[in-house]
Amino acid sequence: MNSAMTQTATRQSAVEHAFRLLAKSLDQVGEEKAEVFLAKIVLILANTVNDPVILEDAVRRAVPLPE
Amino acid sequence: MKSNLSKARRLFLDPPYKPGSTAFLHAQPFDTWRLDFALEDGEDAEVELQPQRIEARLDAHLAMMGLSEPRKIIWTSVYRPRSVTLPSYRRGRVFFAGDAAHQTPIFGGRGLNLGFADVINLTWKLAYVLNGQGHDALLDSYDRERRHVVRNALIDLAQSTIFMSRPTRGAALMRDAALQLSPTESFVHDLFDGHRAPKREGISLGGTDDKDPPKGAFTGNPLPDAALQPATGGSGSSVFLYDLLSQDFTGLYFSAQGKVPDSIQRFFAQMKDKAPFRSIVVGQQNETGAHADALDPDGAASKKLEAADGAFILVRPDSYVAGQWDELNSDQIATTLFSNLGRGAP
Repeated sequence: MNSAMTQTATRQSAVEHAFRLLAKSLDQVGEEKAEVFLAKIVLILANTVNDPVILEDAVRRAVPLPE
Repeated sequence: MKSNLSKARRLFLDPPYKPGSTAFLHAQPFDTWRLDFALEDGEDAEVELQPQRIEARLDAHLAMMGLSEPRKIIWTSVYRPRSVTLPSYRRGRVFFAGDAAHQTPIFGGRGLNLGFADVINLTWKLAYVLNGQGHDALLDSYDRERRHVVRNALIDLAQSTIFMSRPTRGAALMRDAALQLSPTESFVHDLFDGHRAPKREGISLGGTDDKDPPKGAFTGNPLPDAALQPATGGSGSSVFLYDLLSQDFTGLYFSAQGKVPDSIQRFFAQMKDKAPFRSIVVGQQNETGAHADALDPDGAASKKLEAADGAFILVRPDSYVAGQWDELNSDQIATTLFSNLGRGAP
C-alpha cells in the first residue's frame, strides 16, 4: 500500500472505531442522557482540536445552517 | 448576617434545592450579603418576590451552605442582566457615564468599575477644557475611548452571560455538559467564570478605532505601577510610580545615570511653558550633578515598563499612556501631547 492508501485506511479505521464506540456508549448512557453525553464529547474534542474553524466547519456539515 | 465566611464571591451552579438553577453570593459592607437567585422560565417575578417565597429560597440556600447565623432581609428586587450601551456618550453639553451610558451583566463585576473609569476619563478633560488648557475636541475623545472599552467588556462577558442565563435550550444543554465535566476537566472553567474573562482596558488614541495600532508596549493602556526609591536618601523606603503622577501630563524619562542632556532639559522646559506638563526622571543611580527624581536601582521598574536607558513615556492625567518611545523624539512627543489636549499642532 502506498502512503495515501495507508492514511485513508487509518482514517477509515478511526472513524469506524469512533462509530462503534459512540454507538456502544450511547446505548449505555440511554436516551435521556444521550444529548448531554454528546455535548460533553464535543467540548472535550473542541479543547483537543483547539481550532474554531475546524469545529465550525464540522457543525455546518452536521447541521447545515441558514446563510 | 454576621458570618466568618471569606469575602470571596461565590457562584452556585445546579444547587441541590433547585437543580439546574444558579445563585450568586456576594459579600457587601457592614455584615451585608447579596444573594442572587436566577428566575427560571415560567417563574413569575412578582410571585417570587413574596416574602414567604424569598424566605424559603434563603432558608434552603443557607442550609445548603451549613449556615444558621441570625439574619435579616433588608432589600429584595428583581434584577435583569443587560448588555447594552448608548450609541454615544456625549450629546452637546451632556455626558453620559456609568449606568446612564451602559449596563453590563453582573457576571464579571465590571459595572461599577467601568463607571468609575468613565468618570476618571471625563473629569480631567472637563477640567482642562473649562480652564482653557484643552480644546472642545478633547471632550469628544471621552465618547470614543470609553465606548471602545465598554464594547470590549460586553464582548468579553458574553460567554459567562450566556452560561449563567441559559437563554436557549441549546445553551442549557451545553452548560449542563460543561458542568458535568467541570470536576475533572479544568478547561471548562473559563466558560463560566466572568472574572477570568479578559479585561481589555486599552483605548484607541487615534481618530478611528484600531486603524493605527499604537506604538509602544503600553500606549493606549493604563500605566503599570512600579516600586521605586526616593532619589534623596531614605534608603530602604519606597515610592510608587503612581505617587509621582499628577493632574498634569507626566513625562517619564529613564536615564541609567540619572542625567538629562541639556537639549532634553530645554525641551521639558518648553513643554511646561506650552502645556500642563511635568517631567519625572527615573534613574538607576543618581550621580553627582544628576537629575533623577526617583531611583530604580535594580532596573526592575524599567524592565516592567519596557523602558531602557533613554526611553520616554508620556502619561495622561488619568494614568493612561499617551505614547512611549525608546528614544526621546521631541517632535512626536509634542504632537502627541497636543493631540491629547484636543489641540492642533504645538
